[in-house]
Amino acid sequence: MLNVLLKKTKPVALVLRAPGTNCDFETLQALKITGFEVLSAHINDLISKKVSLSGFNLLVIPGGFSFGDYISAGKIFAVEILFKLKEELTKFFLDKNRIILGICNGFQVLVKIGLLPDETFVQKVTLTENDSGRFECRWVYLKVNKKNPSILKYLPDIIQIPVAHGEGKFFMSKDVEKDIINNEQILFQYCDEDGNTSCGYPLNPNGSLKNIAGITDKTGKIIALMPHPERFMYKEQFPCFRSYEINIIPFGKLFFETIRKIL
Amino acid sequence: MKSSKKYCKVINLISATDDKLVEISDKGLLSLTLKEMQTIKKYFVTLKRNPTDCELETIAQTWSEHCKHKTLTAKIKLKYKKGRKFVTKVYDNLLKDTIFYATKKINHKLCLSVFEDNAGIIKFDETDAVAFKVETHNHPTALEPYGGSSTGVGGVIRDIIGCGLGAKPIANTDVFCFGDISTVEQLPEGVFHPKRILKGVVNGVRDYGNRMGIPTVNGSIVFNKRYNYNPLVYCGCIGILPQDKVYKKISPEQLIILVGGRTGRDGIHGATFSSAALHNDLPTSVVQIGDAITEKMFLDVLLKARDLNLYNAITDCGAGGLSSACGELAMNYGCKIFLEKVPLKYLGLKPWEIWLSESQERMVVIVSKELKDEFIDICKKEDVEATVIGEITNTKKLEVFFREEKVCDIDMQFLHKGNPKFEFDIEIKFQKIKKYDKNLEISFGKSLVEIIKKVLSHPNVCSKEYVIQQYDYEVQGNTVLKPLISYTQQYSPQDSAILWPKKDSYKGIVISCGINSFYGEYDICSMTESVIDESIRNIISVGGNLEKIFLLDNFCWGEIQNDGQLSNLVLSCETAKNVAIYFGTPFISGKDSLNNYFLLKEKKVSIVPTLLISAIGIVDDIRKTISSEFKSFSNNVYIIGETKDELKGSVLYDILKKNDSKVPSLDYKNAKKIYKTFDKIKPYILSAHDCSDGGMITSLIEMTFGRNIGVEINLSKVDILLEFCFSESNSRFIVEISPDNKEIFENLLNREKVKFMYLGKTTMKPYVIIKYKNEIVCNEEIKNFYNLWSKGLNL
Amino acid sequence: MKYFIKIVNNNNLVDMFSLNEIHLQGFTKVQSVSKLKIYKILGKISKKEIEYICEKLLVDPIIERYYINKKEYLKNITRINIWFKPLVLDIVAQNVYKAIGYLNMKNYNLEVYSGTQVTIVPKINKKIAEQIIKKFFMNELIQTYEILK
Repeated sequence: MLNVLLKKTKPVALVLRAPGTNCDFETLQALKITGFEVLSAHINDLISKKVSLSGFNLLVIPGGFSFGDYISAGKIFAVEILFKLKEELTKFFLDKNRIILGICNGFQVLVKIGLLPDETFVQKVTLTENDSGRFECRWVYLKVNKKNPSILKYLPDIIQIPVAHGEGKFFMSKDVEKDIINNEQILFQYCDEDGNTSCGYPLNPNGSLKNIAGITDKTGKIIALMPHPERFMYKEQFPCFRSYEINIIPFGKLFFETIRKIL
Repeated sequence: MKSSKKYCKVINLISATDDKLVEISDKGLLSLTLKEMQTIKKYFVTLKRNPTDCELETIAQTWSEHCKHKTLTAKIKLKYKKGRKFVTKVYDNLLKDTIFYATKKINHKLCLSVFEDNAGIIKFDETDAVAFKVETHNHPTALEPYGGSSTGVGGVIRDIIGCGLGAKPIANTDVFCFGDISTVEQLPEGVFHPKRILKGVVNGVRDYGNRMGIPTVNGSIVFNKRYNYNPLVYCGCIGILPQDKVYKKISPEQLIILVGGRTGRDGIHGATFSSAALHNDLPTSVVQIGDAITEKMFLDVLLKARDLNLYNAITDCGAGGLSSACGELAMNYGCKIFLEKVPLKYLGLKPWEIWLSESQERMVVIVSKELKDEFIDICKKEDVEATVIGEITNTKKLEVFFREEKVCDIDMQFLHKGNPKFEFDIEIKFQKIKKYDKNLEISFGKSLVEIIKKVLSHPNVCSKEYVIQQYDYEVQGNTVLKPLISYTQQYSPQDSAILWPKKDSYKGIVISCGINSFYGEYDICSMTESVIDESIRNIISVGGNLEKIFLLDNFCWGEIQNDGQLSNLVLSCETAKNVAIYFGTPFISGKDSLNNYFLLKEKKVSIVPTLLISAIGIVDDIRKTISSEFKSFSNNVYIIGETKDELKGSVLYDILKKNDSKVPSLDYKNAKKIYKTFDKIKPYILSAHDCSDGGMITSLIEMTFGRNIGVEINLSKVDILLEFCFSESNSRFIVEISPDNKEIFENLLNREKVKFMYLGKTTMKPYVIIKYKNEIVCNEEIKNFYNLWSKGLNL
Repeated sequence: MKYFIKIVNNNNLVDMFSLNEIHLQGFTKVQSVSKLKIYKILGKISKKEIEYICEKLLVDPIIERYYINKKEYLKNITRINIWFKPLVLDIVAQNVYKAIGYLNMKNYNLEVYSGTQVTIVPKINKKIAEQIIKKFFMNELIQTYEILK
């Protein structure tokens, strides 16, 4: 059941930047096209209270190399947020009408803050170096978990989106795995064109446990994924768009439009 | 100025002998010739004083080969034999009379700023312009592959950030030339194994480009044992900027602000060093390490400031550091710099070290006094350091102070135009061409399939996916023709990259390159023609238009003092001029890196002369562009263009260790005809791939990979099979046409008198089948070829 | 106070690429080679505070563990620490220093250095160790090394 709320004004999204964030421009464009009011803010703006999270419906932590990914991907950004914005962030996600979205570097940050898989601010899972030992830039198939609590479960069964990361291997202990599976927190899994999620490299570009490409929290309001939906808003961005017989749906656009529906 | 200085040394020049002058240059790593030292001495004699070390260093940096291109702008008297007579040709300024001359003659209406600024700038659409720059960073890479290559990327990106009033970098291109990665020879002390250099370079360029959020969309990797001691790294960057931000506006009383990283002892003597030979005892300070995040931070801030019109000019701090940056910006006016204001990494730097430091990630910005606070505020908000270090004056002098002492006071005119012109007198002796042995039967004890397999796994032909997929080619979401395309897990390589930078129209930018390391060994003119043709045909093949293609030249040559090398350079420039004028494709920027040689036991071992041509094109509709993978079965496959006996320098001959035949050259008239006709046949082309390294058979097989669509061709009409398959003749394409369009396609080509040949059909069966005179000479599954091709590098 | 911190990955992977290269170049005695991250922190700071920095910043709690000033047992292995030369940009260390500032710790007037520790199995003589290190793991122009005893 879709809970569509009729709003008279557009929902407002905040794209959070740190030194080294570099996908913010196209993320802003993607949100704008989908009908959001957008603002891009540097983390200093939030710390200095020039910008407050309270005015936003959607908080997006976009892709990039925040703080160069030094020490490990997303770690320093996570530390800065944890030690300087914990209260604000808590207030934000306690309001269940709001969504936090982490894309690629954003996924790494949310996991290292400890907001995913549960909002305890203690790190329970991690995203580490790809099995291949190098950065991987390729297009992948994703299987959508129809039982996931977020609205994104209404996406088509299989979608295609590009990935580009060096530390995308999802890892968790057996206990945490049990919880995540029981709560249907897995949102996307790398698969082949038929939807098999048991495939290895390169369909699973990093060796993630259970081919996990994206997860949510229990409520489906904190969403994170390694692939980049903001890079597939037009069908001309699809590698094979010159084969005219293929009916191409820009899955990235569908992704953002689906999120828009509940805000 | 006082004769006794507190913060700098005074160098006794005005009473120095010629021998002493040479000694001063050598000891100080100034790389100045005796004539140059004498010119400087004369200048200071007229000033009735000796120079400070700061002044001497400033002049050395500004007059360095790297900054002034003294060889390429030299006066050259060339003597050669034409028939029985000797002919003398005089170039007043080699670059101006060849490359630049071509551009002026063509006078292309889309050129906005060429050979002036940090990059070449052309019109993109009604409101925006595109900037393109390619640079080399060879010597630092040989010393420290990771650091050297990453700073190379950082440097060229800064050139784009610093061109006009600041362009936004939207793509990178990288071309690498490495030695033989399978070599087991004991390399001399101080030389890294080519594999280590490869890894270092791939990682260095990747880490910098990915962190900056700039997609690396195009490039090439060339292997040749001639690069064993001197790898080449060409880094390119493309940027976009509004047309009203293309020109800088400097005037007196504006402030000079240093933005970005702090200054240390890094890379001192980088500009002078880049023209000296590599040997073991080079000082540590010469190597620089890059910090992409600092650069990304000021990029974000500067674009914001640009759009708020907060500054009037900008340039990057590259070779020569502040001395070059300020010297260039203030060239027509004069400036005062206060070195004690420069933020330092650590204490203890002498004034000349601050002035010449090549610490990375710094930009110089010219801001009006009334906007200074607003500008610095924007920077501070995002933790970017911005410090006022001086101002533009109208004295026409470069005046540098450290605290109360003036350490430098030179006339801008002398600094920028005072260097004595280089002059060369050379004679060319043409080599006799060996007779061609036309006996290329499959008589080498190998079947055609075996030879194909060897060619596909040759390092210069095989897949570079190991490298390409380590670079984020999707960031910014503008890449509409990716370097590799697949529907399955097999990739078809694409000829060019296409960017779609503005989504409110369908206009696009095409980027390609042309390079070859084997041809230059034998025939410089043909090599030059071939690499220019390669870069152009790569753009045509994806749907570009000859009328909107622009070129960049990057010469990497060996030891230039050796006459043979200099005459090669002249021949190459002359040929480049002719090709550019004939095709109407102007050069918009260029660079050179001369003296790439290694001192092996007192002997100078040079690289093979290597010219990289980078090309950029504008297309009106990215939806009408063409990719190289076969689209469907039962379609017709043709080869357009003429295949000649041009096997010298080919991949086949490298494998067979032969060197007869001749190097591919350019058939000007037919090439132009083909390119112009391509525009007319474009709507009927389903897929197209140009023919180059590895010949037409390589291109044909690469087209089968992407969708695993097979092909069956009959080559019975061909005279010599191996020659047809592996010759690397220029200006050829393999195209896929629907049978419905057979007539209109063939009629168009016939009408324009363009040579073409029907090869066969695409098939559903995923096999490559080649028939030749009643025999099936190849019947191989695509995936067998793919496995060899994709694992060729074995990394 | 001087603290030497070692970050060990629980999976402790062998660096296969380097191992292959080492074998190709003739050093056949080498059985395995692996790398890990090391840090040196100097300053007026207590061990507890260093542990705090390790736990909150330097280590990934899911897959890594850390050691401070660990005593090395080098019977069957060779360990070499590689650091940057002074004045060469140590970007990781700079960022660690910056991030320590975010941890709300007082008085962090510290010196931070980052490096790599290479472990070679088995124990090999000094000369060969130097050759291997210079050929595959470090550049004398910008780095220094110390073979652990």
